[in-house]
Amino acid sequence: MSARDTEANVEAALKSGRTTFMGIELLTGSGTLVPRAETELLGRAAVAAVRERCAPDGTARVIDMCCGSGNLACAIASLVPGARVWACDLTPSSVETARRNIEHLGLGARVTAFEGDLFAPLTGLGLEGSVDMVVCNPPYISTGRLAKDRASLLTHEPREAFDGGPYGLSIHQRVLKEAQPFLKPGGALLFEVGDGQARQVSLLFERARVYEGVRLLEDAGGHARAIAAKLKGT
Amino acid sequence: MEMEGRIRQFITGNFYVADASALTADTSLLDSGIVDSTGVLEIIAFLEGEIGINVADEEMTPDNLDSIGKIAHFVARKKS
Repeated sequence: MSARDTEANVEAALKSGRTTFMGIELLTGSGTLVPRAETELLGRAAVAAVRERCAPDGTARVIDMCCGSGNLACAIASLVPGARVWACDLTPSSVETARRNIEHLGLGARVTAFEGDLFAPLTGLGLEGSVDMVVCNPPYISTGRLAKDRASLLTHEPREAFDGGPYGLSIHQRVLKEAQPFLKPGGALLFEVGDGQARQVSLLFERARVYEGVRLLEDAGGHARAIAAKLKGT
Repeated sequence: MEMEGRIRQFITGNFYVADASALTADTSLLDSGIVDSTGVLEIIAFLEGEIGINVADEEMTPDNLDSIGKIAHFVARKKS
């Protein structure tokens, strides 16, 4: 999809107040990233990773980091009935939209949205060492590109949804480190990555030294747009 | 070869540099589009593999890496 088509879709979704992601209807909100169709690649991989890790009673624990409108959290909870999801975002407007979606979809018993800096709001909840999967669609555009060729992204949506620091990798780096205490051994960590960024994020996984089985996930055009690995020590 | 020369050789040999003669020790690698999220880890791999320093995640910043001169200073600090 061209950048112009994406911008038109974003405008239409914000105007109507609704959009569709992985077959579920979601509400949109100002100051919140509108879910992109390309993120369904990450969503499908996340659903598969959770299903592989469900306990015999069908339950699984999931963290959706940088949840935006709650699209991944709600899709996973909708498609995996035993999933319990903790969703987090830095921006109050996104958390408000995520909470509206959780209510809209009747998922309040299994999905909770928190506001704060990455994993900070999840400390003290007893989640450490017990999470089956962390999924994250982080901001991954470099600050410099947001000032230049990708500046149009900021027309309708907040900077926090896109700005991944000077190299576009700052949030990936932090999540790689901060997810570790929460994941079970063998627990999965999945990211969306920018086009052309997969090799760099793959190197970040290697540098962290605690993950294994790094897999690049390609879209229909053969571009690696998501990456998955698991914490060592199955 | 002195450090700035080795760094320059690595950058011009591994990244697209439209005009190598215009690449000074102070040229911003980000602003000039030579290094973005698709290249910074290559610089880190070079520094760790060829130069022999360890680079922590929190050191992966433009202050340390955004020009040949800054990289050379960073290496000198790490080796001192």
